[in-house]
Amino acid sequence: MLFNSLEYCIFLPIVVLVYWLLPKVLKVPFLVIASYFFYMSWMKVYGLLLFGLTAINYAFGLIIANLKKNEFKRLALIIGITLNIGCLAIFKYTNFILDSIKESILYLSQILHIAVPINFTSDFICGSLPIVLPLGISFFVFEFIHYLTDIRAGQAPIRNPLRFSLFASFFPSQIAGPIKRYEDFDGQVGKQTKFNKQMCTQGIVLITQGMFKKVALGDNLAPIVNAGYANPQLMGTADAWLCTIAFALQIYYDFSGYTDIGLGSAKLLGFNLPINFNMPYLATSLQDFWHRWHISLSTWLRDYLYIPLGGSKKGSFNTLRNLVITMLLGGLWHGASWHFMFWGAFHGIGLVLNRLLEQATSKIVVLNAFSKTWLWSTIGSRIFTFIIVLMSWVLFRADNMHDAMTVYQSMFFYEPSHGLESSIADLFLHSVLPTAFLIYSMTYFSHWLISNKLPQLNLKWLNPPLPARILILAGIYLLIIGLAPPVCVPFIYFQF
Amino acid sequence: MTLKTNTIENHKTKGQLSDAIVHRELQNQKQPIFLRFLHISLWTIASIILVVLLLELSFDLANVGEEDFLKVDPIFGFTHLNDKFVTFRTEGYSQSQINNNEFRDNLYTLAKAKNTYRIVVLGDSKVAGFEVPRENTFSKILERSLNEKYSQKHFEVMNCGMSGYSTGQEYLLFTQKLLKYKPDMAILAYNFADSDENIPAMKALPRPYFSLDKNNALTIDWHFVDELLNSRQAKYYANFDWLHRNSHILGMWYKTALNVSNNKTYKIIVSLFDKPFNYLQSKVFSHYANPNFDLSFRSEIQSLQIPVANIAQKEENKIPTITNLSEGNLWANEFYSYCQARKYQEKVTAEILKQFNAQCSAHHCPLVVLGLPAPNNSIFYFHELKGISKLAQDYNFKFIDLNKYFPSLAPMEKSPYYILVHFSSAGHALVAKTIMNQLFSQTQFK
Repeated sequence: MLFNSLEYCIFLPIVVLVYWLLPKVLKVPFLVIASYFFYMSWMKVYGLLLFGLTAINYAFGLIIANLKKNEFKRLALIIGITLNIGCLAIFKYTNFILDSIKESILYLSQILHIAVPINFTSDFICGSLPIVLPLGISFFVFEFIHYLTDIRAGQAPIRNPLRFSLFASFFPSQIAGPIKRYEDFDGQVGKQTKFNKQMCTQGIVLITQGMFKKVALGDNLAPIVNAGYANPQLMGTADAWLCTIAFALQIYYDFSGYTDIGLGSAKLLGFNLPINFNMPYLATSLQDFWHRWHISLSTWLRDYLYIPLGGSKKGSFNTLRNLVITMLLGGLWHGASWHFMFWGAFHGIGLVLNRLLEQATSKIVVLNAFSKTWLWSTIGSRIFTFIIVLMSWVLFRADNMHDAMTVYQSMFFYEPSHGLESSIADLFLHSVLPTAFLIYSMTYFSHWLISNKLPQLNLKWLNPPLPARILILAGIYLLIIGLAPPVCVPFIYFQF
Repeated sequence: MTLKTNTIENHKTKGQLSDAIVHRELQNQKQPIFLRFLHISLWTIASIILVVLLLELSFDLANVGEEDFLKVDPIFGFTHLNDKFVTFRTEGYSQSQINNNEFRDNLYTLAKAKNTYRIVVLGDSKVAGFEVPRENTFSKILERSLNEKYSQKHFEVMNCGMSGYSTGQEYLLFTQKLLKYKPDMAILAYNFADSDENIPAMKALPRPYFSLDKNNALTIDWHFVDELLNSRQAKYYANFDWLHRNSHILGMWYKTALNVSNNKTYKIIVSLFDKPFNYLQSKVFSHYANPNFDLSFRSEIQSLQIPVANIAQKEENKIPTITNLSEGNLWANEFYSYCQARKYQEKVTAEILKQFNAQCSAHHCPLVVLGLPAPNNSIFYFHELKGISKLAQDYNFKFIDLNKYFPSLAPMEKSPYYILVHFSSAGHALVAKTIMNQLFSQTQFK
């Protein structure tokens, strides 16, 4: 069930209505059932996987908490984490590992001139296994690892199995995050017993905003990106830049749109989920970018990978090494292929250079003065960071390393367009995007007007009553439906 | 982008307002009922007007809601909406005007100039070609190529493609409308869904359906068209013609309903609201259907399967079995009855083509049937084309199987000749080139 599907439009209001009508004691069991229904609507059998992982982690949580000796706690933690990672590896990385072995053998056989049997590539062991990646597995495995690690560190476990199931399966954050922290989430369970009008309004606004971002902006950018990246060899220099900028916008609107809908849905149920984005393309450095982009993942990587590796406390070389390892594994987490690994490595090395540059800036007077000039600190640094991030998106979007290299070549060495079916500019102008962007920017203006100017004018009659609000909301949804492309585009982060 | 609600409770908890202001707000809330009613009513009316105006403006700016271009017709079931400006985005992109005669083409006069050779091209959406600019459709490319090649003669190639038409509807269109234009040649583009659409058994869309009576004579059934004419939708079209033509909101609404019409959840909701008993009946009783089997046709189909299986094996490393043919996953029983229906609809289609050819011969307008390309595993369709090819020999009309000239690239969406399932500009150009080579390479015009 996609957030932008008709099914979800029916599912969510029913769940919200029933949830608030039920007595307090039934609220949590109902949400667990609803979350499993949501998850199993995609593939029933993987409901068992979610259930199995939940049961194992619940048990390990209690075991770690109850064990007295530190060594045993540590051992239980290692087993628990290994089980989680093992599960993720089986579903996500088996084919990647098999393919890599196959490629290596073929490559070696060419170098060493050894004949490989003709049917080698179609052999069961070296071919791709028909494994379907369970939705959201990367996200809830990370949540489980965080849970076990925090209990090992002395936090209290969730003793109520239903509450733990809800933490594991909560549908607004189930498929693509944000990656929750259990202390924060469990603390909210049972707190909000009465329907909160203000949270409901916030939730509806967030869902509407997310829908607009995803459907009207992200999905309409998809054909432009696909036109170029499906045929990288046909892209000229301008096409390569425009397509990559389009992808940078698409992935932001797609993912932050998803997160907004998730956050909004949670608010309707009285839960606050952690935020994931804070205007990432306005970052002034790569480090700043990771404080603004997919915040729940970057903080997870910091807390459960970077710091356990030693963080920045074991000398500057180790700090830089830890940064690269963290980002490399962060890249691999996104997907089992080399271009994601290189994407991670790109960011790791980028962050290392970022740190070295910062250190140099603090020591060299000229650089220090330059970094503090108005032009650099407000505009230059943001544009520079955006271009660096744009470079990394090429690796992320391309289907493989060869395609990525072709795009880089087109970007940096002038190439005329080799005849895409329609030019990128035409695709943009023929789409609804110019109008959608106009409306999006006007919403920001009107929001500013409503929140800053109207209260001062004290025009009470301008505060619309409920029927008018419902009509306006219906109008906005009609607008979103109208601006939607004919084909429903799945969320990019559903594949991770 | 969060809305700030000015409830007293919030102010209290935030401690932003003094007690005096809270008291004043409480006083204000005690407005007379009449004033409150007036306030709500005015706001509601203003909201409706505002929302409608802003939506129309936004959709007009984005050219949204301009794809609803069909209207009800008592003879053909439905036709294009005349004089309608269409921005098409479902597949590909184009902006064009449908002419006063309901075709996506220039307006041609009934009278034909002396030196003019007129060709009418009939077919469905693949001929209308809304996916590409009007000038890139194969009819228009053919017109340009002919005028270039034979400068002493003036050629008019009329694009009479109507989205969603069956062969039967195209036959009616030809006899009822196009013969008046005194065409010198009729090109009929035959598509792989056409024979399904000729008989009512497969899809009960509102169009005239054809069947054979006891003497194997063709009969037309307008039952579904009459139902449509009496439907709410038709009455709306009749009463609110202006809105139908001009409202972007309504255009968007109908287009969206069409887009989601295959969605399972949407179907259930609509069925339950519209005809709950029919829906439940179809769910409960469909399992007890027991068709009479006609196995002879099945063996014919199976004999065809061998070459197709070879192609598929090479290209996708998959061997199609009897249950995973392109026609959908059919259970064995359904497959037998499906074969029986196909045999019948092939007979009906053949009869329509015979009648079509007879009309063409009577009006000195040679008929050319184009077998449009289809995916590699359209096993039943290839069987039909084989039949039409034989029919063409027996009844002396020209048949061009375009499958031979289109590189067999599966899946279609990866081929440069298609956008999704319709022709891209390159696909239209290839069709036009093939027609030129097959029909006009040797022809001399005086």
